[in-house]
Amino acid sequence: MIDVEHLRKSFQAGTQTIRAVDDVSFHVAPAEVFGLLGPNGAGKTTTMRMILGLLQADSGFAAIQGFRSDQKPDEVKKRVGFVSANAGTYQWLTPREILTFFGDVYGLRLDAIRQRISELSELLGIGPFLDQRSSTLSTGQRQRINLARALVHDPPVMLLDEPTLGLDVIGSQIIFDYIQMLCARNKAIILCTHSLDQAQRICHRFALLHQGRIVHSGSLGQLQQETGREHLVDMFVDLLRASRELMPASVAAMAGPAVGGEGDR
Amino acid sequence: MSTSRPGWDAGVGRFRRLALKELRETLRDRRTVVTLLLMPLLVYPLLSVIIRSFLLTGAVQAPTDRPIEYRVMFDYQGGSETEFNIWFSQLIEDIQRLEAAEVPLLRPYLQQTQPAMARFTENQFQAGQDVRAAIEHGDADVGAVVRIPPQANQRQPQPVEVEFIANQASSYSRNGLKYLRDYFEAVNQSRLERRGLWDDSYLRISEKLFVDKDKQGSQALSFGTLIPLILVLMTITGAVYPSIDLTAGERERGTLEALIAAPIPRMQILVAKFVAVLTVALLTATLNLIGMLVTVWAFKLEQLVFQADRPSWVAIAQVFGLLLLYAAFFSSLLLAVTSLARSFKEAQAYLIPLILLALAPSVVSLLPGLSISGWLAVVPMINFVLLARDIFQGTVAFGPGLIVITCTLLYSAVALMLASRVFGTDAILYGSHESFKDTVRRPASPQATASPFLAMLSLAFIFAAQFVSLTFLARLSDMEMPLLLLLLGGLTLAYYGLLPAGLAVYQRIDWRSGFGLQRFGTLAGVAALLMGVALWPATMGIVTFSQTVLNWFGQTEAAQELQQRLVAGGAKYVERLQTVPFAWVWLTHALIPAICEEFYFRGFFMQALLRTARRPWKVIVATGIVFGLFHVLSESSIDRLLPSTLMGILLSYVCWRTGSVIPGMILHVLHNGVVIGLAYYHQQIAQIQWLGAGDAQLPTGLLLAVSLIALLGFALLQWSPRPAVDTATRARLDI
Repeated sequence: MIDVEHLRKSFQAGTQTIRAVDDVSFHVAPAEVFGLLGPNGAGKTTTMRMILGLLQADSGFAAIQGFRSDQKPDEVKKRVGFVSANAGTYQWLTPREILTFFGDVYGLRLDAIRQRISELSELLGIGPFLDQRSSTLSTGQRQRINLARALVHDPPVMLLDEPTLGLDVIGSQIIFDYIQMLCARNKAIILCTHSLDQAQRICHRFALLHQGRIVHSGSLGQLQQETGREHLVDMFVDLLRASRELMPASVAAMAGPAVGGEGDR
Repeated sequence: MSTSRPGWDAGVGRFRRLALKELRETLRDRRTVVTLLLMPLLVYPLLSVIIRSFLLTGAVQAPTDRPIEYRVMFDYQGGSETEFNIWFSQLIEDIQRLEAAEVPLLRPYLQQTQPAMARFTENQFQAGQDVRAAIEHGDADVGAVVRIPPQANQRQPQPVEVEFIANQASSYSRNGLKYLRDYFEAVNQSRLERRGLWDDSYLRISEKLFVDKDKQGSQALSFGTLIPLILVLMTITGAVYPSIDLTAGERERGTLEALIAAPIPRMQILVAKFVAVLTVALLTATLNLIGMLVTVWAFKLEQLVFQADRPSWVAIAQVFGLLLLYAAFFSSLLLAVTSLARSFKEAQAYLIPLILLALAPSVVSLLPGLSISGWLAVVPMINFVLLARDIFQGTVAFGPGLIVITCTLLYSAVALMLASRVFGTDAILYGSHESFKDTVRRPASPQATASPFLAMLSLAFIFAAQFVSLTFLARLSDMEMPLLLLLLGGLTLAYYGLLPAGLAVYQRIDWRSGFGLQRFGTLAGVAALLMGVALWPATMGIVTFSQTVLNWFGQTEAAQELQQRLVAGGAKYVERLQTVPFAWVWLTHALIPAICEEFYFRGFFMQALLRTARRPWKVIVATGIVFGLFHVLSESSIDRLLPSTLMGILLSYVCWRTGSVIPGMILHVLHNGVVIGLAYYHQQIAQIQWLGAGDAQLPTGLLLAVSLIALLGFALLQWSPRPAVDTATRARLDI
């Protein structure tokens, strides 16, 4: 369903070249949740954007149901529902207007859009605030609207980039439950998240990215075997320690527990 | 997906809904509504209060205890001094009688300006004195020229004609004219009532306003320009907020990425946003125009703004059209600038310099006595304000209007294309700074052609630069002819030859594919040769035809005067050309322009547009029209539009059909050479009666032969083999 082959992408920052994504390959099957995990700046978001065709890869390619995003971006976009970390909503429109608009943009007929909205409002529990102006909604409600927006055209593939960012424990839990439900509906899902416990619970396979490269990949069992660690959190800590050892001691001390801080790439 | 609409690409309906969504989002925002409604409601009444209370204390004539005096100077023509004296004493008698009776006949205007009086200047009774000069020198405020008809042998009594003269630039003088006119009409009325019949005591009244540029310069502000300036500034203000909100604002809120992730072309999203911004700008413009008109009407400022008692609806419609054009230009410019920003704040920071940049020329346009010519016609804002002023005051001319409109259209196209290059790019969406620089940066690999953006940018630059240069050259008309021709040739070479060549070197554009400098078949070459030598009667016929059509449409005095001036100017120019050897004329009028124009229009420009065009005929026609417009500009003559456009289309077709720019160059050089040769040697040709005697039509035999040659040329062009794909170039450039 999703094929990623040797993707590479570099960015220029002043005179420096930063390798955001370096030879990343993986495959995701229908009814599978693939966890793309890594610290900030690991290259997760850039990979997602290249899969969708929002960014051009320097080399390599990504394909959805056989359509390459560098060659047929519109075919790819039609098949993907995308929720990004910082997705917002149109504050002056109501969720119903937003969903109708996106349904229209994805080429759905008006009656089909109406039916889809009623399905989604049942599925995601957005019915009560469908006709409220978006600026009056809570963060959790808005994130559910974003999920509904990404699902309005019933895509076979979902790309979820930090869909629980800014949500409290309950809000996050609701979203993760929905993800499991989508998986049960045969969708291929790539999930980027920092909620490692939740990821460990719902993802079928993982790729651990660090500085643009896949360091470990496979099922939880394979990862445990490879790293000798029980939990994803411990695997992560090892990764971060490795990169801290490369830093000068003074910088590492200042950097604190987290590495990076340049924002997601 | 069974729920999908049929015809995915037939996106007209979707585009409409896309634009509607943008518009709905904008109009629900109360900040937009505030700019839209409150500003016109506040600005114009406030402005009119300022005008009335501060700037015009002398001119509007607020009632005072002291009577206002108008110094009136009389001049008389036609009769003797005695006749004039008798006529004048009768007039004074009537006026005194009217004043004594407190005159119900006097019109409202007169009542409004009461108490007022006219004091006649001392040397009022001299015949043939220059009333206008007296007003200009400040010796009088208003003048009256009295024409007394000869009374001898007159069966039917003729009325005395009185022509009032006032300085249009001075409101005091204009008010004096109104005062006098109303008084004289009241006199007419009272005489009619007393005698019951129209007779020789009836005064035939007319008015004449002159523009005194020196006096106009002494006015601190010209309100005719202030109002259009405020109109255009308000229109821009209306567009600022939505353009930021729909680009940088949307990015900041995180909705832009979701939109870009949908299967719609970025250009469609951008154009929908453009339509929304333009609509808001137009709503602002409409409300402002209404606000301005209501204020002008309510505060009786018609004379100041329109220099007439009431505004002309045609003028208002024209100004609205101009505002539409400007709204389009600024909407695309604002979108281009705000698309660069990643946040609302950043967009505001970018817009402040832009608004200041727009204000600077606007302030220049407020200087009194400016006219649309030279660089003023191509600088945005100034050209709008001056053109709108001329429209409001009914003094607009066709030529400058066309130049302003063409310039603004070109600038709008460039701005929109720039916006499309910037909008939603990786750089803006994801924070890298590199992509915007790509638009001006030297590409790493060779390019097959220039980008359409670069083509439009160069076109706008050449249009403006050439206009300014030609205006400058026109001022140096006393220059020696060889030097003038040298400069003209140099300019053509610089704009159409060196500029595109320089751009090609910098942008690594392939000479062969980027300029159409390809090989061509023998048949194509012969075809170009035949058409080149035989198309001149067709050109002459089209020139005559378009002159006839223009005469039908433009039966006004001004149009006829312009036409005569053009014909006379043309004849004079040919005379001057004849002082220079023909080779020199041929070089500067045939060889250099033809080669360079083909190099640019059919080479650089058309090849760039053809790169992405789905339908070449559109590019062929568009290139022809652009070519025609440029010739109207360079010859300052509207009759060049049709022949040059048709010739442009033909040359573009020849280039496309042969796959090379060279046959067009041959055609163009020969055609120009023949036409300029016929003009240069017209006396000799007339002597040998080769083309028939004088201005008569061409001999039928000659016409037939030449037409056959041209047709044969065209047929050969059609028979010539289609251009082969230049595989070497394509492979090298990976296209």
